Amino acid sequence: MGPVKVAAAAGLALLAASSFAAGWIRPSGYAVQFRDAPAVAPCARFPLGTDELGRDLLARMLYGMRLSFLLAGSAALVSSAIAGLAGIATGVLGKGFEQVLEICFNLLMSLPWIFLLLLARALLPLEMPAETSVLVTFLLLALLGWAPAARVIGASARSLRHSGFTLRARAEGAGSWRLIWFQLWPNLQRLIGAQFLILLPGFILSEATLSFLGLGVGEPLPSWGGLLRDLEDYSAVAEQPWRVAPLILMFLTVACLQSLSGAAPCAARRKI
Amino acid sequence: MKLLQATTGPILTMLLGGLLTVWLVRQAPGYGADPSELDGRWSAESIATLRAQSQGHMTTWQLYTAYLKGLARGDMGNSLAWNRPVAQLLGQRGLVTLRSSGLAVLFGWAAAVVVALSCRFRALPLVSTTSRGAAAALLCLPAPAVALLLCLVMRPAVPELVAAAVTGLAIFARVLLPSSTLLYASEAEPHVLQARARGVTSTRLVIWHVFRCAAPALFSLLAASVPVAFGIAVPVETVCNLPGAGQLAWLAAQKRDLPVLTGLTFALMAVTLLSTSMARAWSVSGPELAERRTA
Repeated sequence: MGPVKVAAAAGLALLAASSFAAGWIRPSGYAVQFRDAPAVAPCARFPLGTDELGRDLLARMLYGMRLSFLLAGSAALVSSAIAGLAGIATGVLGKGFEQVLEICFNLLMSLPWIFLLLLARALLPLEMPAETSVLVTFLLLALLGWAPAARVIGASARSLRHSGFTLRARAEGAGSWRLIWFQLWPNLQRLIGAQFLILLPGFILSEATLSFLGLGVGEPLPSWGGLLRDLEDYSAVAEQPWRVAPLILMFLTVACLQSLSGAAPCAARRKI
Repeated sequence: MKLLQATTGPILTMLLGGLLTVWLVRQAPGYGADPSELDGRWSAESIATLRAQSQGHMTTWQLYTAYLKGLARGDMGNSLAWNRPVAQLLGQRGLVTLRSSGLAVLFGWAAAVVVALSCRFRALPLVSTTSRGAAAALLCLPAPAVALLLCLVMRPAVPELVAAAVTGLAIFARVLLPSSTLLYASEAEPHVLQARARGVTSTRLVIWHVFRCAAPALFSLLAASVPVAFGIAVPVETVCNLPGAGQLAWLAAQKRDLPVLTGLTFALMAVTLLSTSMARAWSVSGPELAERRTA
């Protein structure tokens, strides 16, 4: 691991720690409205100021980051699990299953990602409780985002199916489960891990875009997309530059994740 | 026969995608419900007639075949929110997106290729590092945030230009690294090295050897940037208040205008599948044609 990757890992650990310590750093929480201090500038009491409703922006930012970490992480985990299963199945079940999966890939990848999310979200009830909107948003990400990762894992599984050690294991009488457990899984687990790291920043950015468009996480729950909506009034941003803080934090998080995910495929290739 | 094989897959995918969209639309809560049914002035008979006129009682298959029959006549249905033919809406707004996205693809690609080539042939390490850093930074920001930042700097006097600039920057960021890799790989081909050894000038080398060699892969990459451009157009047009197809998709999603969403799905699938099929055909026939020409 080079110095950039070490710095990225340390930065990410720091960001994750501060988001999980949000309750300790800002005990008042993200939803409390300080009616005596609406839209105040950064001060000792509110290091990043408050919004028009008097809510502490630092608290909202930290809780929003925690939500993104937890739910984008879970969505990426589910997505890479589906991709892993689909990929391994192509390696074991052969041509017929491969063709069925190819149709699924083509269907999912023939529409732009954001439009696919918009379409799926539009067909669900638009007015729903904030907690349900969080689950729906990240479930949609998980269920619609696995196709590119499955294609990569499937290609590796296909090449492993024809590799010397797999052919030998099959010739020695190994069944499908044994092949999966002892031949495919050990060789694919790093690649699946790499796909998880690649999906994670993409999901964070997608959630931000979807919430920015008003179709993601609902108020009063904080999310990065929701916080970015405050930037829409760009004349106010010029007067209150601290409003850009959530964007900077999000940039740092995604940059750290991108740096780490850049290292992951190399490690996976080395393993294979 | 090859043409038939190449076209069957995309057409089947499109038909299947359309069927899935109609099925999803049919399952959406509130589908087929007419708000006028709640109006107490309507008699029971009138409500029954209204129900019979609406498509709420039709099955997914009946809806889909009716939609396809209409599509064959150029009728994509009527928008519920705008009360206008969907084809007319798509035509008007699609043209705006096509113009701004076309400009963006052109700008993004031109910038990426010029940067890649100038860094390689003119040995500009500072430009190379800066451009790669900028591309990496752009990939860490969501498109609406980049649009907002550009609006902050440029003041949105011409929203079409801001939208084109944001989409162009996003495409530049996505294309710079793969296009550089492809161009450098072509430059290392034996015939290119031989041409260089014979003293062929840099311009001639790039146009006649490097580009020709990398063209099929570059074309595939170009085809892949078409859906990317539309994906970015959705949030960017919303932020810049540009009345294009991207903004239409967002508004239709918010207003649950399902005929518009179905029409957009069909149009986008057609564009994506057409561009990927063309790229595939080029990647297969391009090298064959080049070989025949050389022979």
